[in-house]
Amino acid sequence: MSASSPSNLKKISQFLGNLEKWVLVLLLGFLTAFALAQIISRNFLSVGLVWGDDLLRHGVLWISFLGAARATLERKHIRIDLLPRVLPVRLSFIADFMCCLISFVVCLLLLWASWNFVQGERLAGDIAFASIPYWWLELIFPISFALMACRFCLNCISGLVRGPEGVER
Amino acid sequence: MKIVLTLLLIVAAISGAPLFVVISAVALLWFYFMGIDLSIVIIEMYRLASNPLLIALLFFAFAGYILAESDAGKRLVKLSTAIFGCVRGGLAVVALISCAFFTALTGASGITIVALGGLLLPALLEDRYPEDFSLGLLTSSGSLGLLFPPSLPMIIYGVVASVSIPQLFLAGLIPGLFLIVLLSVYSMYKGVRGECKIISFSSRELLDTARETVWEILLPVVVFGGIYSGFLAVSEVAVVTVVYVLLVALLINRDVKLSQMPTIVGKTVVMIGSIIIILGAALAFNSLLVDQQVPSKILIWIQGHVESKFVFLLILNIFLLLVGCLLDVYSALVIVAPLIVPLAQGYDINLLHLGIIFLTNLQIGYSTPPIGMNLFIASLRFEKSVLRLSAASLPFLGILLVALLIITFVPGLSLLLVR
Amino acid sequence: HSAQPQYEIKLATLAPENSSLMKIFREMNSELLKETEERVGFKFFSGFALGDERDVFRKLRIGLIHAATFSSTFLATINPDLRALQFPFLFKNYQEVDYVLNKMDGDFDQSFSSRGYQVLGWSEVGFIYVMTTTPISRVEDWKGKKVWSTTNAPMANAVFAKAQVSPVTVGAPDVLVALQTNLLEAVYNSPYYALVTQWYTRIKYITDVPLSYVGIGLIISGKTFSRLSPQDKETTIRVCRKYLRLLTEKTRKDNQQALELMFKRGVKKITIEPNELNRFKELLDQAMADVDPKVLPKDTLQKVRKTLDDYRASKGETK
Ligand code: NA
Ligand code: NA
Repeated sequence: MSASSPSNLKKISQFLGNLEKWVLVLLLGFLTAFALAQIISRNFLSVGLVWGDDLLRHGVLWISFLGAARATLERKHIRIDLLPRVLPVRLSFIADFMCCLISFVVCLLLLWASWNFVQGERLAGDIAFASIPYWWLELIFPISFALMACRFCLNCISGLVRGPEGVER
Repeated sequence: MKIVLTLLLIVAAISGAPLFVVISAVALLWFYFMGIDLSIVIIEMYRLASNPLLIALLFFAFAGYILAESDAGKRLVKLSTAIFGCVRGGLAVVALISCAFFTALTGASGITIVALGGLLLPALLEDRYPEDFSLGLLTSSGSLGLLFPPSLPMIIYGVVASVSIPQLFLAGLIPGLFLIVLLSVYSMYKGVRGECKIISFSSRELLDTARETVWEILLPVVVFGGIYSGFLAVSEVAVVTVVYVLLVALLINRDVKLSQMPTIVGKTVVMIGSIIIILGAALAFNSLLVDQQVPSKILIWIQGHVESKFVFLLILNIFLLLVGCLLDVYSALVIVAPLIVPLAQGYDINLLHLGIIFLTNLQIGYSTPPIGMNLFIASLRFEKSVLRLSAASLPFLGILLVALLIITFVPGLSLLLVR
Repeated sequence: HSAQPQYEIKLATLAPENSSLMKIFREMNSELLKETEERVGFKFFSGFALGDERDVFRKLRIGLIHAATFSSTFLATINPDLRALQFPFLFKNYQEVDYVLNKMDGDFDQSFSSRGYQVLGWSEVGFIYVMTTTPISRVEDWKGKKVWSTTNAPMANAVFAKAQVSPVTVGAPDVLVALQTNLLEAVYNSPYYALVTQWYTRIKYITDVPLSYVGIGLIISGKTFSRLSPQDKETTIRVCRKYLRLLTEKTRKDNQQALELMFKRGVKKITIEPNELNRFKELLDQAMADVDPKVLPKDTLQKVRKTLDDYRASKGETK
């Protein structure tokens, strides 16, 4: 491994982060426009897409789980950090590292579970709308948990690199 | 083995592991030892996608963040000053009412203190309100609009307890106003005693500020009108609210630029994402509890020990206050509410009333140490220690507790408008 | 109950704890325990504790629960043959339902066991009626009406498209408020359901003709069922069938009483003129012709129709 690899990694991660942000903006913009069109067509034109609501709800699911992945990047997940507030720096550094590690492992497990889930759904073969099968819509689970696993892993590494002095209080 | 691992996870939880990780981990662990395919956790999370209220949650939060970026807060403060500034102690009431109104507009997403605190604290201090009183007032009123639509915690309670959101919104109105009135009376008393400054009333100023603020004042009309006229479902009202707020901010008032949208969207999705993933994990955890028939076992145990509804409500409040101290609002809702709902039904408590009790408790929890979201936000915003802010909030918490007791034991306050 | 049976079957149902279904199921459980000498018994999960039908089915698939009741509307997503029974205006009365089901349930059981599920028996939600807040007696009246819709209902959706209504998806707990605020103008379900959910306080009209028939199936996963001894299998099916039949009789009585009570409380009956009814039938037939044959299998439908025609001929009715 060359010395430049962490910075390359950082660049890739930054690029992915930006890409993700624009995907989210477009997705939320599309959902807003779609929902508005649905309301107008139902109330004024008296027609409505039956599957419109299903599409919206899955859109919200996608946004939420991508948002959760983003919260991992920005370290904004809801947490109860009682101990780190009272522990000395060195211990709180260890606690922080352990939490990152646990999160990484749990996200890997969730990734595995969501893969199994999607496989099961693929076999069941239900069609959502416009001949799109439900399991396509459910791919957000493996995607978002893979993202979160990667990011928790990166958080672990960058925490180790920074050392105890870098712990945010 | 599984108990040791569960205890370890609880230690991880208080050491700052993300809550969704801990809850999912407990569910994964126990289902693994039961020999159930782990995809059960995802099956439960996927139940989120069949809930239309998540649409409402996302869009109301989005509208809230757009408003928070705009100058709506400043305009609201100006308008309330024009109305109440002429009364002795009026500025404190201005602070309370603008906070409550702003919190309601932004869906009680915890941004009130950030948006209004910096505006109101210097004003209060300049008018010779004691510093501790001012800090306490702003810290504890950061969640004052929690009972007004379209508050996000209310929608989440609706999701968890599966009660009708329009009815829940109606149920919150009188208790919410009641809290404002009580706190206002106390603040005016303090203001009069402290001989604070007053501003002379000017009808011209009032008219001007009202004209400036007209679009924000109309927003509750859009939300309420949309829900109760029957043209729109709750999730559709949320969409209309976003479009309305966008039009007003981008085209009419022009206080938000299109280039700010990526940042606003970013803030919205991070907040919604971190809440909804906990909601999903809690669904998995609850499915574990249901499978082990934990809720019905607790119900049988409690019913064997507590006979009267009165005592049950008292215990419930103490329990919820403790929960409110230890957990933040969203986690408390998704973890505790599903357990409490069947219990309350066993005691014949109306689920709308239960929701108001729950939310009032959590509103108090917002400003209680050690995990009071308002305390942290205020501590960052005002650069004061959490300890000092906690002490400053005490009198306000006391009043809120009295209000809580009245709301709990007078169900009519919550149910008057619903019937 | 004191001791846990050797084979404890976790059974999920959407019916609430205090429903007739749960009362009858408890009796079913006691008899099953007695007949199998405490070897086989049920553990019930009632209400929406486990989610909606799709969630419950997923849990059945991975083995968190072993058995569940499902509406035929949902079961049709697994076994499309069942949609033939839900064809609009197919049955005129419950005698016809009983006759056809008696002839066909072997076929249905067969197609479920080929998919890995054993049918323990059938009961019903009953006939579904259309309930509205405005009088609707002609085909044209439907245009633009705000009709309650649920996702994953291809037959209903085909009808909605043909009748040019505007479907509105509202969660079940919000239907009552939606009716009150005029967000919904037309809903459909059994009279008993409309009574217990208080829908009847908001609707003003109920159409006289049953729109379609919805059954309830009690399904157990083949894996769980295969663990039972042949004798216990036979006993389990026999006891379940007996109590599900009791449930059907109770449901029919409940539905009839609910209908009478709704009329007594001021809900008006809309009678549709015979030629108008024929126009409705034509429209629905056209809508059904648009439905994908994979979704609504033509040969099963033909078989059901043939059985029904035989029955009507034997009773001396024409068509
Ligand atoms: Na707030
Ligand atoms: Na708290």
